Amino acid sequence: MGFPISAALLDSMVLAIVEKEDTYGYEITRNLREVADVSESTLYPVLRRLQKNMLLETYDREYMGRNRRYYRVTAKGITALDDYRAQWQHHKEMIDSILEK
Amino acid sequence: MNRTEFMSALEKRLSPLSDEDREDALRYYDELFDEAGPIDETKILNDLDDPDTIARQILADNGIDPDGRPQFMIDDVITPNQSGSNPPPPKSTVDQFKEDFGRMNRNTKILLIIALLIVTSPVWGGILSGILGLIFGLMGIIFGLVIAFTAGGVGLVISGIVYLFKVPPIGLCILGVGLIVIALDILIIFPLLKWSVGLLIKFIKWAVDTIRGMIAKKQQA
Repeated sequence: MGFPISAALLDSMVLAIVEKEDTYGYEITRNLREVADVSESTLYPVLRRLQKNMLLETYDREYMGRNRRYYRVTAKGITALDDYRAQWQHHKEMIDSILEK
Repeated sequence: MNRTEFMSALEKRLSPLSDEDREDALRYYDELFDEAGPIDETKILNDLDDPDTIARQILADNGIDPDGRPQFMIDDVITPNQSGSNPPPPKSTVDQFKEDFGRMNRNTKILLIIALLIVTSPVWGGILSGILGLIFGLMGIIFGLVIAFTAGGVGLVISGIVYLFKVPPIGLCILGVGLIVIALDILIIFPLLKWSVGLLIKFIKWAVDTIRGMIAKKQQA
């Protein structure tokens, strides 16, 4: 795709994926990769950053004899996501106002 | 490269991180391999960037300059027969001493400093006792003045009152002089005392701070 995905956009996409349901790293990557060309190496830093800023939190759940680390959106994360959505809406309208015929 | 090699390469490159940050990152990548399963191991290895790129990104995110650390990628960067650079210039005695000093352990350093202080004590000891003597001398003078003026004034006032009943004119005179002395005491000597005590406290604070600063610097070195 011709348009690069900014860090803020990546943050909001990850938050939105986890908001739908709690999920784990591999699954988040798979979801993201369906719509964007994101490498594995980009996702871990994003998750870690969101976690350190307390927008995401983790918990472990057993799956087939090993622990899977699940991510969950915090209250702060939901506020941030709402904010991102509003910003994105605004951004989209601005771009569209020029692009659309 | 297989999974084990990938993980150990990543671990080595993440060594500048805190234990918690490193464990978290390693765990994440370990889990990716688990999720993909042994069949897709090659696929995930292809999808992933090499450990070096991943580690750089993570280190940068943690505010660590990946190339500022010599242990980073040391196995990749240093190859034999590449060190065609000039030999280091000969060191001056001062530099040599600094280097030797840096290599000593803390106790040796402290012992060395104490020995140095004892050897040079005739010089700074004399200066220090001179300064201390001067300060205490001045304090003594001021205290003496306070006591003399206060005692003198109060004494004169008391004897003035006593004389007032025996020889009233002389009594009045003595009382007046006593009051003047007390007034001078309050107007001049007390402010002087207050000022000099303030100065002494400031000096002590300054001395303590200076010594502390010196100790802190020594410990950093």
